Amino acid sequence: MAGFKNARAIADAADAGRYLYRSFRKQPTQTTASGIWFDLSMSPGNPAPNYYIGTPGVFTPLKRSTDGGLDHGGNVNALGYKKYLRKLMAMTPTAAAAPQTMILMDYIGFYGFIDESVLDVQMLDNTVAPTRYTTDAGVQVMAVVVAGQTGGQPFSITYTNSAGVPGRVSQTVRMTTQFVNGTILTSLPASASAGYWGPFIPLQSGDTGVRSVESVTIGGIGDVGLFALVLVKPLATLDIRGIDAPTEIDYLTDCGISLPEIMDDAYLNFITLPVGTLSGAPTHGIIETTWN
Amino acid sequence: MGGFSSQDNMINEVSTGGKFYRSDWQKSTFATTAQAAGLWYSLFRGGGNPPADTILGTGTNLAFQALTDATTNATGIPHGGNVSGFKHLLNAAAQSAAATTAPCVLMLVDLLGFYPITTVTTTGDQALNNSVTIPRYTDGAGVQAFITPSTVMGAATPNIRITYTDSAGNTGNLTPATLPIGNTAAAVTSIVYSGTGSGKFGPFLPLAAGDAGIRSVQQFNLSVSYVSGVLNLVLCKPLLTLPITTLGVTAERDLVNQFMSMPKIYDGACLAWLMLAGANTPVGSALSGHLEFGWS
Repeated sequence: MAGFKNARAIADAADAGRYLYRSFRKQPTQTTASGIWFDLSMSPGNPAPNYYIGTPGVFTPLKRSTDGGLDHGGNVNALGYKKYLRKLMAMTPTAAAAPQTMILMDYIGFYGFIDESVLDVQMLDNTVAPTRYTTDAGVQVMAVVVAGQTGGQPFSITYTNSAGVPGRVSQTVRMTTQFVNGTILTSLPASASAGYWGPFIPLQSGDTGVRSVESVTIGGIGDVGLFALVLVKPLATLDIRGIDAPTEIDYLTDCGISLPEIMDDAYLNFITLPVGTLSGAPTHGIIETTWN
Repeated sequence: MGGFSSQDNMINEVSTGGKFYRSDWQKSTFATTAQAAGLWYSLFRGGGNPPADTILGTGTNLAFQALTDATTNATGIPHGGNVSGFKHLLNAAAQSAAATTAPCVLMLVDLLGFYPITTVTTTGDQALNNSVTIPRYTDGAGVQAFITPSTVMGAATPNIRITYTDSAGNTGNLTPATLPIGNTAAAVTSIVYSGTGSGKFGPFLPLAAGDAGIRSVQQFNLSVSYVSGVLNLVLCKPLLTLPITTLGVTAERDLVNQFMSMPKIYDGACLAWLMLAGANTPVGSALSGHLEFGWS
Protein backbone atom coordinates (compact mmCIF):
# COMPACT_ATOMS: atom_id res chain seq x y z
CA MET A 1 0.00 0.00 0.00
CA ALA A 2 1.36 3.40 -0.94
CA GLY A 3 2.21 5.74 1.90
CA PHE A 4 3.72 5.33 5.35
CA LYS A 5 2.19 2.89 7.78
CA ASN A 6 4.44 3.85 10.68
CA ALA A 7 7.49 5.81 11.72
CA ARG A 8 9.79 2.97 10.77
CA ALA A 9 8.56 3.15 7.20
CA ILE A 10 9.49 6.83 7.07
CA ALA A 11 13.00 6.12 8.31
CA ASP A 12 13.37 3.18 5.96
CA ALA A 13 12.31 5.29 2.99
CA ALA A 14 14.98 7.84 3.82
CA ASP A 15 17.60 5.13 4.20
CA ALA A 16 16.53 3.68 0.86
CA GLY A 17 17.10 7.02 -0.80
CA ARG A 18 13.46 7.84 -1.39
CA TYR A 19 14.19 11.33 -0.17
CA LEU A 20 14.93 14.51 -2.06
CA TYR A 21 16.53 17.83 -1.16
CA ARG A 22 16.07 20.84 -3.39
CA SER A 23 16.89 24.47 -2.82
CA PHE A 24 14.95 27.49 -3.99
CA ARG A 25 15.67 31.19 -4.08
CA LYS A 26 13.07 33.75 -5.09
CA GLN A 27 13.91 37.41 -5.39
CA PRO A 28 11.01 39.58 -6.58
CA THR A 29 11.61 42.63 -8.70
CA GLN A 30 8.11 43.86 -8.00
CA THR A 31 7.38 46.46 -5.37
CA THR A 32 4.86 44.94 -3.01
CA ALA A 33 3.07 46.48 -0.07
CA SER A 34 2.16 45.43 3.42
CA GLY A 35 -0.84 43.20 3.77
CA ILE A 36 -1.31 42.40 0.10
CA TRP A 37 -0.82 38.80 -0.97
CA PHE A 38 1.67 38.23 -3.73
CA ASP A 39 2.37 35.31 -6.05
CA LEU A 40 6.06 34.39 -5.87
CA SER A 41 5.71 32.18 -8.93
CA MET A 42 5.87 35.37 -11.00
CA SER A 43 9.19 36.46 -9.53
CA PRO A 44 12.70 35.78 -10.76
CA GLY A 45 14.93 33.25 -9.15
CA ASN A 46 14.99 29.53 -8.87
CA PRO A 47 12.60 28.14 -9.96
CA ALA A 48 12.31 30.32 -13.04
CA PRO A 49 9.31 32.65 -13.12
CA ASN A 50 5.89 31.70 -14.42
CA TYR A 51 4.02 34.26 -16.52
CA TYR A 52 0.63 32.57 -16.94
CA ILE A 53 1.01 32.41 -20.69
CA GLY A 54 -1.97 30.71 -22.30
CA THR A 55 -4.91 31.29 -24.58
CA PRO A 56 -7.24 33.90 -23.03
CA GLY A 57 -10.06 32.32 -21.09
CA VAL A 58 -8.93 28.76 -21.76
CA PHE A 59 -7.92 26.44 -18.95
CA THR A 60 -4.19 25.73 -19.15
CA PRO A 61 -2.79 23.05 -16.83
CA LEU A 62 0.44 23.70 -14.96
CA LYS A 63 2.82 20.78 -14.52
CA ARG A 64 6.27 20.26 -13.11
CA SER A 65 7.31 18.40 -16.23
CA THR A 66 6.44 21.22 -18.59
CA ASP A 67 6.36 24.38 -16.49
CA GLY A 68 8.83 23.78 -13.67
CA GLY A 69 8.02 25.23 -10.29
CA LEU A 70 9.72 24.07 -7.11
CA ASP A 71 11.35 20.79 -7.95
CA HIS A 72 9.99 17.98 -5.79
CA GLY A 73 11.30 15.06 -7.81
CA GLY A 74 9.78 12.94 -10.54
CA ASN A 75 6.59 10.96 -10.64
CA VAL A 76 6.28 8.04 -8.23
CA ASN A 77 2.66 6.88 -8.37
CA ALA A 78 3.30 4.39 -11.16
CA LEU A 79 5.91 2.76 -8.93
CA GLY A 80 3.33 2.21 -6.23
CA TYR A 81 4.42 5.14 -4.08
CA LYS A 82 2.93 8.37 -2.81
CA LYS A 83 5.09 11.41 -2.27
CA TYR A 84 4.91 13.68 0.76
CA LEU A 85 6.30 17.00 1.89
CA ARG A 86 8.62 16.23 4.77
CA LYS A 87 10.33 19.55 5.51
CA LEU A 88 10.39 23.16 4.44
CA MET A 89 12.97 25.75 5.37
CA ALA A 90 12.91 29.42 4.38
CA MET A 91 14.81 32.51 5.41
CA THR A 92 15.51 36.03 4.26
CA PRO A 93 18.31 38.44 5.12
CA THR A 94 16.22 41.51 4.25
CA ALA A 95 14.52 43.25 7.14
CA ALA A 96 11.69 44.59 5.00
CA ALA A 97 10.80 41.03 4.02
CA ALA A 98 10.11 39.83 7.53
CA PRO A 99 7.77 38.79 8.93
CA GLN A 100 6.30 36.99 5.96
CA THR A 101 3.64 34.29 5.73
CA MET A 102 4.11 31.86 2.89
CA ILE A 103 1.71 29.24 1.56
CA LEU A 104 3.05 26.36 -0.49
CA MET A 105 0.51 25.39 -3.11
CA ASP A 106 -0.03 23.03 -5.99
CA TYR A 107 -0.90 25.28 -8.92
CA ILE A 108 -3.27 23.04 -10.85
CA GLY A 109 -3.79 25.35 -13.82
CA PHE A 110 -5.16 28.69 -14.87
CA TYR A 111 -7.46 30.63 -17.14
CA GLY A 112 -5.26 33.26 -18.71
CA PHE A 113 -5.72 36.92 -19.57
CA ILE A 114 -9.17 37.70 -18.17
CA ASP A 115 -10.00 41.16 -19.52
CA GLU A 116 -11.17 43.57 -16.83
CA SER A 117 -12.66 45.96 -19.37
CA VAL A 118 -15.28 43.49 -20.60
CA LEU A 119 -18.53 43.95 -18.67
CA ASP A 120 -20.39 41.12 -20.39
CA VAL A 121 -20.20 37.66 -18.87
CA GLN A 122 -16.94 36.09 -20.00
CA MET A 123 -17.37 32.37 -20.58
CA LEU A 124 -14.31 30.23 -19.88
CA ASP A 125 -13.18 27.20 -21.87
CA ASN A 126 -12.81 23.93 -19.97
CA THR A 127 -12.01 21.71 -22.94
CA VAL A 128 -8.84 20.73 -21.16
CA ALA A 129 -9.56 19.41 -17.71
CA PRO A 130 -7.37 19.56 -14.62
CA THR A 131 -5.26 16.48 -14.02
CA ARG A 132 -4.87 16.81 -10.27
CA TYR A 133 -7.43 17.18 -7.47
CA THR A 134 -10.20 16.61 -9.99
CA THR A 135 -12.84 15.92 -7.34
CA ASP A 136 -11.15 17.01 -4.16
CA ALA A 137 -12.40 19.50 -1.67
CA GLY A 138 -9.99 22.27 -0.91
CA VAL A 139 -9.20 23.50 -4.38
CA GLN A 140 -9.35 27.28 -4.34
CA VAL A 141 -9.43 30.01 -6.97
CA MET A 142 -6.90 32.81 -6.95
CA ALA A 143 -6.92 35.86 -9.21
CA VAL A 144 -3.44 37.07 -10.11
CA VAL A 145 -2.61 40.37 -11.77
CA VAL A 146 -0.78 39.91 -15.09
CA ALA A 147 -1.38 43.44 -16.40
CA GLY A 148 -1.97 46.24 -13.95
CA GLN A 149 -5.32 47.72 -13.05
CA THR A 150 -6.58 50.79 -11.23
CA GLY A 151 -8.60 48.85 -8.70
CA GLY A 152 -11.83 49.09 -6.81
CA GLN A 153 -14.09 47.35 -9.32
CA PRO A 154 -16.14 44.28 -8.34
CA PHE A 155 -16.19 40.86 -9.97
CA SER A 156 -17.45 37.35 -9.34
CA ILE A 157 -17.14 33.90 -10.86
CA THR A 158 -19.44 30.98 -11.50
CA TYR A 159 -18.00 27.53 -11.01
CA THR A 160 -18.59 23.84 -10.50
CA ASN A 161 -17.93 22.89 -6.93
CA SER A 162 -15.99 19.89 -5.66
CA ALA A 163 -19.20 17.86 -5.44
CA GLY A 164 -19.79 18.40 -9.15
CA VAL A 165 -22.61 20.92 -8.79
CA PRO A 166 -22.39 23.55 -11.57
CA GLY A 167 -23.64 27.11 -11.53
CA ARG A 168 -22.30 28.02 -8.15
CA VAL A 169 -21.62 31.74 -7.70
CA SER A 170 -18.78 33.16 -5.67
CA GLN A 171 -19.02 36.09 -3.34
CA THR A 172 -18.46 39.39 -5.08
CA VAL A 173 -14.91 40.59 -4.60
CA ARG A 174 -13.10 43.77 -5.49
CA MET A 175 -9.89 44.50 -7.31
CA THR A 176 -7.02 45.73 -5.22
CA THR A 177 -5.20 48.95 -6.00
CA GLN A 178 -1.75 47.34 -6.09
CA PHE A 179 -1.05 46.81 -9.75
CA VAL A 180 2.30 45.07 -10.09
CA ASN A 181 2.26 41.70 -11.77
CA GLY A 182 1.92 38.88 -9.28
CA THR A 183 -0.39 40.78 -6.96
CA ILE A 184 -3.34 38.73 -5.75
CA LEU A 185 -6.16 40.79 -7.17
CA THR A 186 -8.55 40.29 -4.26
CA SER A 187 -6.10 41.28 -1.55
CA LEU A 188 -5.94 44.61 0.23
CA PRO A 189 -5.61 45.39 3.92
CA ALA A 190 -9.21 46.37 4.31
CA SER A 191 -12.18 44.54 5.70
CA ALA A 192 -13.60 41.54 3.93
CA SER A 193 -16.92 43.27 3.89
CA ALA A 194 -15.37 45.75 1.51
CA GLY A 195 -14.74 42.87 -0.88
CA TYR A 196 -11.05 42.31 -0.32
CA TRP A 197 -11.00 38.79 0.98
CA GLY A 198 -7.40 37.75 0.80
CA PRO A 199 -5.69 35.23 -1.44
CA PHE A 200 -8.70 33.19 -2.52
CA ILE A 201 -12.06 34.09 -3.98
CA PRO A 202 -14.70 33.20 -1.37
CA LEU A 203 -17.04 30.47 -2.55
CA GLN A 204 -20.79 30.12 -2.30
CA SER A 205 -21.92 29.19 1.17
CA GLY A 206 -21.28 25.54 1.96
CA ASP A 207 -18.81 24.89 -0.84
CA THR A 208 -15.39 23.50 0.03
CA GLY A 209 -13.68 23.42 -3.32
CA VAL A 210 -13.79 24.07 -7.04
CA ARG A 211 -13.53 21.71 -9.98
CA SER A 212 -13.71 24.28 -12.74
CA VAL A 213 -14.66 27.89 -13.39
CA GLU A 214 -17.35 28.52 -15.97
CA SER A 215 -17.48 32.30 -16.21
CA VAL A 216 -16.27 35.62 -14.88
CA THR A 217 -18.36 38.75 -14.54
CA ILE A 218 -16.70 42.10 -14.13
CA GLY A 219 -18.91 44.73 -12.49
CA GLY A 220 -18.88 48.46 -11.96
CA ILE A 221 -17.21 50.36 -14.75
CA GLY A 222 -14.60 47.72 -15.41
CA ASP A 223 -10.88 48.30 -15.38
CA VAL A 224 -7.87 48.37 -17.65
CA GLY A 225 -5.92 45.32 -16.55
CA LEU A 226 -5.75 41.60 -17.11
CA PHE A 227 -5.64 38.77 -14.62
CA ALA A 228 -5.28 35.02 -14.48
CA LEU A 229 -7.70 32.84 -12.55
CA VAL A 230 -5.64 30.09 -10.99
CA LEU A 231 -6.90 26.83 -9.49
CA VAL A 232 -4.71 26.01 -6.51
CA LYS A 233 -4.53 23.46 -3.75
CA PRO A 234 -2.92 24.91 -0.61
CA LEU A 235 -0.54 22.36 0.90
CA ALA A 236 1.42 23.93 3.73
CA THR A 237 2.17 27.22 5.42
CA LEU A 238 5.18 28.65 7.12
CA ASP A 239 6.02 32.01 8.62
CA ILE A 240 9.35 33.77 8.41
CA ARG A 241 9.38 35.71 11.65
CA GLY A 242 12.62 37.64 11.39
CA ILE A 243 15.97 37.86 9.70
CA ASP A 244 17.84 36.32 12.60
CA ALA A 245 16.63 32.75 12.22
CA PRO A 246 15.40 30.43 9.50
CA THR A 247 11.94 28.97 9.72
CA GLU A 248 12.09 25.22 9.58
CA ILE A 249 9.09 22.96 9.66
CA ASP A 250 9.17 19.20 9.81
CA TYR A 251 5.67 18.24 8.73
CA LEU A 252 6.02 14.96 10.57
CA THR A 253 6.92 16.28 14.00
CA ASP A 254 5.92 19.93 13.98
CA CYS A 255 2.56 19.90 12.29
CA GLY A 256 0.60 17.03 13.72
CA ILE A 257 2.02 14.43 11.34
CA SER A 258 0.36 16.26 8.49
CA LEU A 259 2.86 15.29 5.77
CA PRO A 260 1.00 16.95 2.88
CA GLU A 261 0.82 14.70 -0.16
CA ILE A 262 2.43 15.98 -3.33
CA MET A 263 0.79 14.62 -6.43
CA ASP A 264 2.66 13.38 -9.47
CA ASP A 265 3.76 16.24 -11.72
CA ALA A 266 2.51 18.88 -9.29
CA TYR A 267 3.54 22.45 -10.06
CA LEU A 268 4.58 23.86 -6.68
CA ASN A 269 5.15 27.45 -5.76
CA PHE A 270 4.46 29.98 -3.03
CA ILE A 271 2.21 32.89 -2.38
CA THR A 272 3.29 35.25 0.34
CA LEU A 273 1.92 37.97 2.59
CA PRO A 274 4.62 40.60 3.02
CA VAL A 275 4.82 43.53 5.41
CA GLY A 276 6.44 45.79 2.86
CA THR A 277 8.19 45.68 -0.43
CA LEU A 278 9.83 42.43 -1.44
CA SER A 279 11.67 44.10 -4.31
CA GLY A 280 15.23 42.87 -4.23
CA ALA A 281 14.62 40.77 -1.13
CA PRO A 282 15.78 37.18 -1.57
CA THR A 283 14.01 34.34 0.14
CA HIS A 284 16.11 31.21 0.32
CA GLY A 285 14.97 27.79 1.28
CA ILE A 286 15.07 24.03 1.06
CA ILE A 287 12.22 21.67 0.27
CA GLU A 288 12.54 18.04 1.31
CA THR A 289 10.21 15.33 0.02
CA THR A 290 9.98 11.61 0.67
CA TRP A 291 8.00 8.86 -0.95
CA ASN A 292 6.90 5.34 -0.09
CA MET B 1 24.60 -4.65 15.51
CA GLY B 2 25.15 -1.02 14.55
CA GLY B 3 23.26 1.83 16.10
CA PHE B 4 21.68 2.28 19.48
CA SER B 5 19.02 -0.07 20.82
CA SER B 6 17.41 2.62 22.95
CA GLN B 7 17.98 6.09 24.31
CA ASP B 8 19.25 4.52 27.54
CA ASN B 9 21.72 2.52 25.47
CA MET B 10 22.86 5.65 23.70
CA ILE B 11 23.38 7.52 26.95
CA ASN B 12 25.31 4.60 28.37
CA GLU B 13 27.49 4.12 25.31
CA VAL B 14 28.32 7.79 25.00
CA SER B 15 28.79 8.64 28.63
CA THR B 16 29.99 5.42 30.28
CA GLY B 17 31.50 3.79 27.25
CA GLY B 18 33.13 6.93 25.94
CA LYS B 19 31.96 6.22 22.40
CA PHE B 20 31.84 9.83 21.47
CA TYR B 21 33.92 12.01 19.17
CA ARG B 22 33.85 15.72 18.64
CA SER B 23 35.32 17.22 15.50
CA ASP B 24 35.86 20.94 15.21
CA TRP B 25 36.19 22.23 11.69
CA GLN B 26 36.95 25.49 9.95
CA LYS B 27 36.54 25.91 6.22
CA SER B 28 36.81 28.95 4.02
CA THR B 29 35.21 29.70 0.73
CA PHE B 30 37.49 29.24 -2.25
CA ALA B 31 40.57 31.41 -2.10
CA THR B 32 40.51 32.57 -5.70
CA THR B 33 36.96 33.20 -6.82
CA ALA B 34 34.16 34.88 -4.92
CA GLN B 35 30.82 33.16 -4.56
CA ALA B 36 27.75 34.45 -6.34
CA ALA B 37 24.39 34.66 -4.61
CA GLY B 38 22.06 31.82 -5.43
CA LEU B 39 24.70 29.33 -6.50
CA TRP B 40 25.81 26.18 -4.70
CA TYR B 41 29.48 25.59 -3.92
CA SER B 42 31.62 22.84 -2.47
CA LEU B 43 33.79 23.80 0.48
CA PHE B 44 35.95 20.71 -0.10
CA ARG B 45 38.52 22.88 -1.88
CA GLY B 46 38.31 25.73 0.57
CA GLY B 47 41.22 26.26 2.90
CA GLY B 48 41.14 25.74 6.64
CA ASN B 49 41.05 22.70 8.83
CA PRO B 50 40.85 20.22 7.21
CA PRO B 51 42.81 21.85 4.39
CA ALA B 52 41.73 22.19 0.79
CA ASP B 53 41.54 18.96 -1.16
CA THR B 54 43.96 18.50 -3.99
CA ILE B 55 42.47 15.34 -5.38
CA LEU B 56 39.58 16.56 -7.52
CA GLY B 57 40.66 16.85 -11.11
CA THR B 58 43.44 14.30 -10.73
CA GLY B 59 43.69 10.70 -11.87
CA THR B 60 42.67 9.01 -15.06
CA ASN B 61 40.19 10.91 -17.17
CA LEU B 62 36.63 9.51 -16.82
CA ALA B 63 37.67 6.84 -14.30
CA PHE B 64 35.91 6.69 -10.95
CA GLN B 65 38.04 7.22 -7.87
CA ALA B 66 36.70 6.35 -4.45
CA LEU B 67 37.05 8.76 -1.56
CA THR B 68 37.46 7.88 2.09
CA ASP B 69 38.69 9.67 5.17
CA ALA B 70 42.05 8.01 4.56
CA THR B 71 42.47 8.82 0.87
CA THR B 72 45.60 10.82 0.20
CA ASN B 73 44.84 14.44 -0.68
CA ALA B 74 41.15 13.96 0.10
CA THR B 75 40.58 16.10 3.12
CA GLY B 76 37.32 15.11 4.69
CA ILE B 77 36.30 16.36 8.09
CA PRO B 78 37.58 13.84 10.65
CA HIS B 79 34.99 11.75 12.43
CA GLY B 80 37.05 9.53 14.64
CA GLY B 81 38.08 6.51 12.63
CA ASN B 82 36.39 3.21 11.99
CA VAL B 83 34.04 1.60 14.48
CA SER B 84 33.16 -1.58 12.61
CA GLY B 85 30.04 -0.17 11.05
CA PHE B 86 28.74 3.30 11.50
CA LYS B 87 28.48 6.13 13.93
CA HIS B 88 25.56 8.47 14.38
CA LEU B 89 25.87 12.19 13.98
CA LEU B 90 24.44 13.60 17.20
CA ASN B 91 25.00 17.35 16.97
CA ALA B 92 26.17 19.83 14.40
CA ALA B 93 26.93 23.53 14.50
CA ALA B 94 28.25 26.20 12.18
CA GLN B 95 28.83 29.91 12.27
CA SER B 96 30.57 32.68 10.41
CA ALA B 97 31.60 36.21 11.17
CA ALA B 98 32.82 36.92 7.64
CA ALA B 99 31.01 39.76 5.94
CA THR B 100 28.19 38.76 3.59
CA THR B 101 28.65 35.06 4.26
CA ALA B 102 25.14 34.96 5.71
CA PRO B 103 22.60 33.92 4.81
CA CYS B 104 23.66 30.58 3.51
CA VAL B 105 22.60 26.98 3.71
CA LEU B 106 25.18 24.32 4.46
CA MET B 107 24.65 20.70 3.51
CA LEU B 108 26.87 17.98 4.98
CA VAL B 109 27.62 15.20 2.52
CA ASP B 110 29.64 12.01 2.49
CA LEU B 111 31.76 12.23 -0.64
CA LEU B 112 31.91 8.73 -2.12
CA GLY B 113 34.10 9.43 -5.11
CA PHE B 114 34.34 11.25 -8.39
CA TYR B 115 34.92 10.95 -12.09
CA PRO B 116 37.47 13.56 -13.27
CA ILE B 117 36.55 14.87 -16.71
CA THR B 118 39.26 16.66 -18.61
CA THR B 119 37.67 16.07 -22.02
CA VAL B 120 35.30 18.97 -21.67
CA THR B 121 35.42 19.92 -25.32
CA THR B 122 34.03 16.53 -26.31
CA THR B 123 30.33 16.55 -27.10
CA GLY B 124 27.96 13.62 -26.88
CA ASP B 125 28.24 10.58 -24.64
CA GLN B 126 31.59 9.81 -23.07
CA ALA B 127 31.92 6.39 -21.46
CA LEU B 128 32.96 6.40 -17.82
CA ASN B 129 35.19 3.80 -16.24
CA ASN B 130 33.69 2.02 -13.23
CA SER B 131 36.49 -0.41 -12.47
CA VAL B 132 36.40 1.13 -9.01
CA THR B 133 33.00 1.19 -7.36
CA ILE B 134 31.50 3.38 -4.67
CA PRO B 135 32.94 2.44 -1.28
CA ARG B 136 29.84 3.09 0.83
CA TYR B 137 26.10 2.98 0.12
CA THR B 138 27.12 0.36 -2.40
CA ASP B 139 23.61 -0.23 -3.73
CA GLY B 140 23.37 3.49 -4.45
CA ALA B 141 20.38 4.16 -2.20
CA GLY B 142 20.27 7.87 -1.50
CA VAL B 143 23.41 8.57 -3.51
CA GLN B 144 23.28 11.82 -5.45
CA ALA B 145 25.56 13.49 -7.99
CA PHE B 146 26.88 16.99 -8.46
CA ILE B 147 29.38 18.50 -10.88
CA THR B 148 32.07 20.94 -9.88
CA PRO B 149 35.15 22.27 -11.70
CA SER B 150 38.67 21.92 -10.40
CA THR B 151 39.84 24.23 -13.17
CA VAL B 152 37.69 27.15 -14.19
CA MET B 153 35.44 26.37 -17.15
CA GLY B 154 35.30 28.12 -20.48
CA ALA B 155 32.72 30.44 -21.90
CA ALA B 156 29.85 28.08 -22.78
CA THR B 157 26.50 26.92 -21.46
CA PRO B 158 26.18 23.25 -22.38
CA ASN B 159 23.28 21.04 -21.46
CA ILE B 160 24.51 18.30 -19.15
CA ARG B 161 23.22 14.75 -19.03
CA ILE B 162 24.35 11.55 -17.39
CA THR B 163 23.37 7.95 -18.01
CA TYR B 164 23.41 5.97 -14.81
CA THR B 165 22.48 2.79 -13.00
CA ASP B 166 19.98 3.48 -10.25
CA SER B 167 19.88 2.04 -6.76
CA ALA B 168 17.56 -0.75 -7.90
CA GLY B 169 20.11 -1.84 -10.48
CA ASN B 170 18.23 -0.54 -13.49
CA THR B 171 20.65 0.56 -16.18
CA GLY B 172 20.42 3.23 -18.83
CA ASN B 173 18.60 5.85 -16.76
CA LEU B 174 18.94 9.37 -18.11
CA THR B 175 18.89 12.79 -16.52
CA PRO B 176 15.34 13.91 -17.25
CA ALA B 177 14.35 17.03 -19.15
CA THR B 178 14.68 19.91 -18.48
CA LEU B 179 18.40 19.18 -18.62
CA PRO B 180 20.75 21.06 -16.30
CA ILE B 181 22.59 23.89 -18.03
CA GLY B 182 26.18 24.61 -17.14
CA ASN B 183 27.09 28.17 -16.18
CA THR B 184 29.49 30.00 -18.43
CA ALA B 185 32.98 30.35 -16.98
CA ALA B 186 31.88 28.30 -14.00
CA ALA B 187 34.25 28.88 -11.12
CA VAL B 188 36.23 26.27 -9.26
CA THR B 189 34.15 24.85 -6.39
CA SER B 190 30.85 26.01 -7.90
CA ILE B 191 28.18 23.50 -8.79
CA VAL B 192 28.06 24.29 -12.45
CA TYR B 193 24.32 24.00 -13.12
CA SER B 194 23.12 25.80 -9.96
CA GLY B 195 21.75 29.32 -10.00
CA THR B 196 18.72 31.18 -11.22
CA GLY B 197 16.45 30.41 -14.11
CA SER B 198 15.47 27.47 -16.28
CA GLY B 199 17.83 24.52 -16.27
CA LYS B 200 19.22 25.39 -12.86
CA PHE B 201 19.13 22.86 -10.03
CA GLY B 202 20.51 22.80 -6.57
CA PRO B 203 22.56 21.07 -5.53
CA PHE B 204 22.14 17.68 -7.20
CA LEU B 205 21.51 16.51 -10.73
CA PRO B 206 17.87 15.54 -11.11
CA LEU B 207 17.20 11.83 -11.47
CA ALA B 208 14.66 9.92 -13.50
CA ALA B 209 11.19 9.73 -12.00
CA GLY B 210 11.04 7.58 -8.90
CA ASP B 211 14.76 6.92 -8.72
CA ALA B 212 16.13 6.83 -5.20
CA GLY B 213 19.82 6.99 -5.92
CA ILE B 214 22.79 6.34 -8.17
CA ARG B 215 24.90 3.20 -8.08
CA SER B 216 27.23 4.20 -10.88
CA VAL B 217 27.38 6.48 -13.90
CA GLN B 218 28.04 5.04 -17.34
CA GLN B 219 27.96 8.06 -19.62
CA PHE B 220 28.62 11.77 -19.34
CA ASN B 221 27.25 14.07 -22.01
CA LEU B 222 27.82 17.72 -22.90
CA SER B 223 25.62 19.13 -25.65
CA VAL B 224 28.33 21.56 -26.77
CA SER B 225 31.96 22.06 -25.94
CA TYR B 226 32.67 23.60 -22.55
CA VAL B 227 35.75 25.13 -24.26
CA SER B 228 38.18 24.60 -21.41
CA GLY B 229 38.47 23.56 -17.79
CA VAL B 230 38.21 20.37 -15.76
CA LEU B 231 34.98 18.97 -14.36
CA ASN B 232 34.40 16.48 -11.60
CA LEU B 233 31.26 14.38 -11.44
CA VAL B 234 31.02 13.69 -7.72
CA LEU B 235 28.86 11.03 -6.07
CA CYS B 236 27.79 11.73 -2.51
CA LYS B 237 25.25 10.95 0.17
CA PRO B 238 23.51 14.01 1.66
CA LEU B 239 23.33 13.85 5.45
CA LEU B 240 21.86 17.07 6.80
CA THR B 241 21.21 20.73 6.08
CA LEU B 242 22.14 23.61 8.35
CA PRO B 243 20.96 27.14 7.52
CA ILE B 244 22.89 30.16 8.77
CA THR B 245 20.93 33.39 8.75
CA THR B 246 23.03 35.87 10.65
CA LEU B 247 26.68 36.69 11.03
CA GLY B 248 27.97 35.74 14.42
CA VAL B 249 25.01 33.59 15.36
CA THR B 250 25.69 29.89 15.57
CA ALA B 251 23.38 27.56 13.72
CA GLU B 252 22.93 24.45 15.82
CA ARG B 253 21.34 21.08 15.20
CA ASP B 254 20.47 18.59 17.91
CA LEU B 255 20.06 15.50 15.78
CA VAL B 256 19.02 13.25 18.65
CA ASN B 257 15.88 15.01 19.67
CA GLN B 258 14.77 15.79 16.16
CA PHE B 259 12.67 12.84 15.21
CA MET B 260 14.37 10.23 13.06
CA SER B 261 17.47 12.13 12.21
CA MET B 262 20.79 10.95 13.70
CA PRO B 263 22.36 10.44 10.27
CA LYS B 264 24.59 7.40 9.89
CA ILE B 265 28.26 8.11 9.28
CA TYR B 266 29.76 4.96 7.83
CA ASP B 267 33.33 3.89 8.37
CA GLY B 268 35.52 5.67 5.88
CA ALA B 269 33.12 8.54 5.28
CA CYS B 270 34.69 11.54 3.58
CA LEU B 271 32.70 14.41 5.06
CA ALA B 272 32.48 17.80 3.40
CA TRP B 273 30.13 20.76 3.24
CA LEU B 274 28.20 22.08 0.29
CA MET B 275 27.05 25.68 0.56
CA LEU B 276 24.18 27.62 -1.01
CA ALA B 277 25.44 31.19 -1.09
CA GLY B 278 22.72 33.60 -0.11
CA ALA B 279 24.81 36.63 -0.95
CA ASN B 280 27.84 37.43 -3.00
CA THR B 281 30.52 36.07 -0.71
CA PRO B 282 34.16 37.20 -0.80
CA VAL B 283 37.03 34.81 -1.33
CA GLY B 284 38.38 33.10 1.73
CA SER B 285 35.37 33.79 3.94
CA ALA B 286 35.71 31.59 6.99
CA LEU B 287 33.06 29.31 8.44
CA SER B 288 33.58 27.13 11.44
CA GLY B 289 31.73 24.74 13.67
CA HIS B 290 31.72 21.28 15.08
CA LEU B 291 30.28 17.83 14.58
CA GLU B 292 29.65 15.35 17.38
CA PHE B 293 29.40 11.61 16.86
CA GLY B 294 28.37 8.67 18.99
CA TRP B 295 28.32 4.93 18.39
CA SER B 296 27.59 1.63 20.07
